[in-house]
Formats: sequence, structure tokens, C-alpha cells
Amino acid sequence: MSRLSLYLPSFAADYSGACSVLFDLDFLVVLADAKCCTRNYVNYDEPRWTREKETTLCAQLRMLDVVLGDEEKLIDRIVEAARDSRPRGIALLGSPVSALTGMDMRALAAEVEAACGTATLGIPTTGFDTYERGVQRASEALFKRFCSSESGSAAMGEPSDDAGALPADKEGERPRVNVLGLTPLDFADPAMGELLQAYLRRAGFAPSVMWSSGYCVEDLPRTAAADVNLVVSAGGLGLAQRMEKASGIPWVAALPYGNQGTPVAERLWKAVGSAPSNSGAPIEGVPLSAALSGLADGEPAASALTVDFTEACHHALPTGVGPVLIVGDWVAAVSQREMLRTCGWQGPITVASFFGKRPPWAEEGDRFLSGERDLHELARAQGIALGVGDPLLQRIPSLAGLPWVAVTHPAISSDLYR
Amino acid sequence: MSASTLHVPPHGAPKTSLRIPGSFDLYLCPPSCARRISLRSLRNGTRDQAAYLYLSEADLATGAYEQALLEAVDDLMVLKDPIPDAILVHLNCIDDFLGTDMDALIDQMRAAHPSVEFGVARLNPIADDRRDTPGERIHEQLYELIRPGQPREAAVNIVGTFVPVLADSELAPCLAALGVREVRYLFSCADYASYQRLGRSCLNLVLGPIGCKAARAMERRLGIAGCPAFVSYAMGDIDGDWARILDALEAALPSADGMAGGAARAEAEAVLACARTQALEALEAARAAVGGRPIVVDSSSSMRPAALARALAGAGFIVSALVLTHEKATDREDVARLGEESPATRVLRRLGPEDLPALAQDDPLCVGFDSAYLLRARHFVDLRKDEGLFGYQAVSHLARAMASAMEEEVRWDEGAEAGPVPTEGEGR
Repeated sequence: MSRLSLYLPSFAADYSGACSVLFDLDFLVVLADAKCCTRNYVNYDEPRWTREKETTLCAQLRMLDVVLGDEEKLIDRIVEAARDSRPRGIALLGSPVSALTGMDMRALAAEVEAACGTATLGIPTTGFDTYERGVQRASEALFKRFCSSESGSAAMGEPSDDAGALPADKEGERPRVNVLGLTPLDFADPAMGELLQAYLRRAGFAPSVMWSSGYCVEDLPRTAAADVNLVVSAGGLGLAQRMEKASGIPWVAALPYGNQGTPVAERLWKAVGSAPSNSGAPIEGVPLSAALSGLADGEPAASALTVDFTEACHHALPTGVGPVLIVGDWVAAVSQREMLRTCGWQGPITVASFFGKRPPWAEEGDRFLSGERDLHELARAQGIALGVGDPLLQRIPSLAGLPWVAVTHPAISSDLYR
Repeated sequence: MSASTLHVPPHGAPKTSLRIPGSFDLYLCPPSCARRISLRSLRNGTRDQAAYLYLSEADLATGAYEQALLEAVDDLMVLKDPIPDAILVHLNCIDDFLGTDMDALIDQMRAAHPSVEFGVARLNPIADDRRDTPGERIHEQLYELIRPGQPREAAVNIVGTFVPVLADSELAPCLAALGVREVRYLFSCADYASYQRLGRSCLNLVLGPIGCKAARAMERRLGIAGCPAFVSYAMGDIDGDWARILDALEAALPSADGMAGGAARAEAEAVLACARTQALEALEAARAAVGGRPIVVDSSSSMRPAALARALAGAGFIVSALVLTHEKATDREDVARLGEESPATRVLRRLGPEDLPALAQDDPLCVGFDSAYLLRARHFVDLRKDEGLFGYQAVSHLARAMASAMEEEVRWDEGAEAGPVPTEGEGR
């Protein structure tokens, strides 16, 4: 009964991941659902609405329309909405209902594009997958359409006033680095994009396109001109692999947190086949804050005080010895493991994730979790001394009461600990 | 579908979900469909009263989820201590296409676990093209496990609301004067036994349209008479509502507890007269305070915002706009009549950036958070879905809040937690 959930919330779905990728692009995003999917994303999976207009719309599917296959009505309404809001592009996303009834999102997108002339993507999300699949699908659809030679010819809408937010590369010969998978579903800290850009500059690189946070349609074509891709969450991996295959652009999956500043930079330099430009001086990484967490009245509560991640781990388990379980996104969790190892942590450190298959950089013993029962059994079997991950994971019986370092994962706990 | 709309952050108390006290909720749905409900239950501290059985795409093809559902119920009987009195299986839009034979499955569950009652609830906005709404259907389903054939008591159920009516309403004293010994709410029931006692009440007083279907079903199945008396801000409507309530109670109260003749009715009418006078005085004061300032009413203020706008226009206020972003079928008649009675009132069914300048013209008083937030209104009445209000007290509350809103100016926080900034010494 691995699909019976008693303790955790349902995780952010693939359509939320896709919406998250499209948020910055001034697209009209239409979710082919009845109501709830759109509200899930708007209310729980997107923190960037404040003082912004909502451009994610619900198709408001109704039984009769779906049964009769009346897609003309939906197309007309999308075209009308596009006429109203004049977006740069349109994206149609699927939901469980459209998946069940076999709505072909790509064919629908082609019809919308033919009717209104605005570039339209059909992204076959289903609501049965988790968010990183949606991040991957939307990223690949955007890349195919706007960044590669396969790009179609439909017009993009007119740019908005703040288009081209990222300055043109003035950093000359520095190798250019795209950051892939930078979504607010992975990173609770809204400053993460800026922190990563500053880090890349410190390390001698030129930040190029920051996929999913802080980019615009005009930036997209520059993606293919990068020298290396830095994959910062599992959702970015698919696009990195596609670009490697299509254009030979190498990728590195890592987060340069804390003491990983130098090792990640070395990997990036190695990937581009050059020598580091800073003559071996240590490179300061991106700060990773964490909170000590415990149970209050049976429910997880993270302390308001946040400290450096490795400091939090040593505070939670002062001996610095013992099996550790880190649960999170594959890139983040493996990077946290590297941080602990670099600072001398003794004992096995296992990484597990609910989000995506075991990636190439996973170690033996790292686990994909198909549900909360998997996590319960993994923790019970391994005799964990310290847990790291979203505070809500402490609701799992075998993790309750363990020393816990809270690193909020919005794809799990939304804004409950923000 | 409209084009872009403006985002309004959540405001006020966290949204709650009504549930059957003492029961356990088992949701059978794709994982994404449970995100909102499961996070809300964590926020409200009710996550331990629900489980989610996630459907996979393969399940839809093979039908394997039916067996998985039966196994999940078996697992819950082992995992939950104490065993719940009832289990409500929640289905969503997907099941409208699968056509699961839930009757047969419920029969199997009952046979396997005879001490537990089982029911089915459907949250399926895909069926919004039907005459009833998901909210109405859920309300009905929440009362379906009440056993029929219970003896009558001098008690009244309040249906179609999510919070109790405040103590300063004339409701409780008036019903007490008439011989009603208890006013009951679904959400106030401490356990499954007190939930069952809802079946002993003699009248269902329906405060919101969302409760009508439930009341009709209870009348059919349990023999409890229903009396719709929606929260209103129009004095004439409230007069009529109270007259109907008195008549309904006269007929419904068990003979042993029946109204003690004319004296009881006279006592109740005295309570009502007093509340009515207070409402009229509050209205007069509000008219003086607001003067000719335009008023914007929005969907967040009331379960029936169009009726509220009509009531204000009818009481002599200038209602410049009704922002009806969450229009329901039950609003239609009031919208039509508003058009006849107050033709200058604009009705906006979506609110885009381009609408704001005209709405903000003449510095309106906003009734409802949504419009106040978007217009950064200097004066606003924080009325939220009529919560806690009923009868003449609703008019008094609204009128006093309008007068008081004119005395204070709202400052708006421009940061991420956008919202009204509390005045000094006031908590948020």
C-alpha cells in the first residue's frame, strides 16, 4: 500500500512545475482542468504573485464538453483571452481529467496557434507526476521552440517594458554558464538566483540564462550559446542532457553551497576544459541556512533561528558521528552530503528523494522513494541518527523525534514554513 | 475564461473544511488533486483525520484501484486507534469518468467492518454544469450518515454556514423565547454521537444557499423541516425571514415543548423589535458617516454579494460597483434586480489591471477585502462571507463597520505580506 498517504501532504504536481518554469515569461498559461489544479498552483505552489497579475487560467472543463470532445469552445476562449492579454506566448497544460480523456495538448496548441498566430506550446502534464517532471517538460518544450534550430516560425507577442531584464554578457571571454532548474518549488529563498549569479562571477564565469527564475523570452536564444550548464535541481537535468546531446554542451549537477564553492567551480572549469581563472584561491559558496527542528504538540516546528547548514547539523548531533539521512531534491541533497563530508562528518550519509529516478550522480544505497511508506521503512532499517530535510518529514513515525535539521522544500510543504 | 486577473492574497482566518465529527476521511484521487486539501489539513491541525490513496494512471486502465481502496480501508482499521466511527470516501472529478460502483464497494466495506459506518462524498467541479454546486453536494453528503427515525427534540440545526452566529445576534434569545433548547451546528459537534443528535432537531434553519440541498435531503430522509433564511442586509427581507421562522417553529416544535402560546411569541417579537431598532439606528449613523461616497462591494464580503449590494443601494447608499469575481448561479436574480434598482452600479465579473483606475475614482469605501486590497482603499469594511452574522444583527454589524471605516484610514503594507497595517497597539 505504498500509495496510501497518512502523514505528508501531496507534493507539488507536474503542472505546478511547468507553470513555475513559465512564470517569468509573460505567457498565458491555460490549465486544462475543472478548477482545483489551477487553484493548487496559484494558491500553494507559486510565491511570486504578490502585486502581480495572475496569468495562469483555468479552462473550467465541464463534463458535457469533455464527453462530447467540444474543444472548439476551449480554443475560442483561449484565443479570446490571448487577444485580451496579448501574451508573449501561450502554453496549454494538462491535468488528470485531460490525461484520462486523452486530450492531445500538443494538437490543441497547434490549433490555438493557427487561430491566433501566437507561439503556443502544448505540454502534456497529467497531475499524476511530481513537479520536477513538469519542470523538465516545460523547459524542453521552451528549448525546442525558442532555442534550437527546430524552432517554429509563429510570432512571439510584443515584449513587455521590462523585457531583457538580464544584461547582455559584458564579461567577454569568461565561460558562460546557464543555470537550469532554478524554481521556487526547490528554493524557498527568493534571492537564490542572485546568489548563484554572484557565485558564478566570483568563480570566474559569466552567468548566462537563469532558467525558471529571473529570465525572459529574449534570453532564451542565448541558452544554446552557453559553455556549460549548471543543473541545480533534478527538474533541470532533462534539458541539460538534451543540450549535451544536441550541442555538446556539458553539464554539472551541483549546488555550490557553503564549503562546496571551490569544488563545484573546479567541476565547472573541468567541464569547459579550461583552467580556473582565479589562481587557486578558495571560492566562497552560496550560503545555505537551516533551522533546528523538532515536534511541538506532535507537529513539526522549525525554530525561527536559522544558521549555517553544517553548523545546524553539528548542533543537532554534536558528536558529528552517525548515520545521516538527507531527503530532498537529488541535486540539493547530494550537495548537502558533500558539505558534511567536506567538514569531516563521520558515518554513512544516505540520500533519498521522492522526486525523480536515481540520477547518474547518486551513490549506491541512495534511494528513490515511491511514497511515505518507503521513507518510513528506509529510516527504520538504517537506524538514522540525524535527519535532514523538510520539517514535515518528521511526521513519518520512524523519523519522529530524531535530531532534525530543517531545510524547507516548498514542493513538499508549500508556504507552511516560509 | 477571462484574461489575466489580479492576485489577491489569502486574508483572514485559514479556510476550513467541514467534516463529519468522529469520522475519518479517505480520499481516492490522483496525487495532485489532494495537494490543496492536504496542506489545508496540516495548517488546520486535522491531517491525522484523513488519508489519501493516490491513483496512478495504470489504475485507471486496469481498475486496480477498487481493490486498493478495500485494502486501504483494511489497513486503516489496523493503523487507527481508536477505530473511527465512520469513514467517508471522497471521490473527485476523475471518478465521474470512471463510474466506479461505489454502492457495491461500500457494501463490501460494511460487510468487512460492521461496526463502522461508510459514506461517499464527491468533490467534482467538472460537474459544475449540473444544477447544484460542489459545495452544495458536499454539504448534503456531510449529513448523509445521520440515522433516520430518531425522536424529536426542541432543537434547531443551523445549516449552510461554516462559523457559528455570534452571541450578539437576536437568533439565540429569540429561539430560546420560543422554547428552543439547543441550537446545533455540524462543526460544533464534539463527536460522532453528538453528530447523530443533529437528526433529532425539529428544524433546519438554512443560512446560506450552500445548505439548501442538504436541508431538502434531510427533510426527505429524516423528516426535519427546512426553513431557508439566508443572511441578508435588507430590513424588509429580514422582517419576512423572521416571520417565516416563527411560523415554521410553531409547526415544527414537538408538542410537549411547543411554544407556550401567545406569550412566547410576544416575548420573541420583543427581542426582534429591539434588534430591529438597533439596526435602523446603526444604518442612520452609517448613512451620515458615509455621505455621498461611492461604495464598492465584492465577492469576498458575503455569500450573496449581489444581494448585499442591492440592500445597500436600497438603504440609500451609492453603490458604484459590484465586483463579482466568484459569481454563483444563486447571484443571478439579485444581479438582474440590482440592474433595475440601481442602474448606475457597474457589475464587474473579472478584475484586470485596466479596471482599477475607474474603480478607484472618488476614493470609494470598499466592502470586502478583495476590492480593498486591489484598490489600496483608504476606507474598507472587513466583512468576510457574512461570518457570524444573522438577522438584524447583520445590518447592525455592517452599518457600524461602515461608520467606523470612515473614521479610520487604512495603511497598506507594500511588502510581500501585503495587507492592511495594524494601527498602533493592535495585533494582526
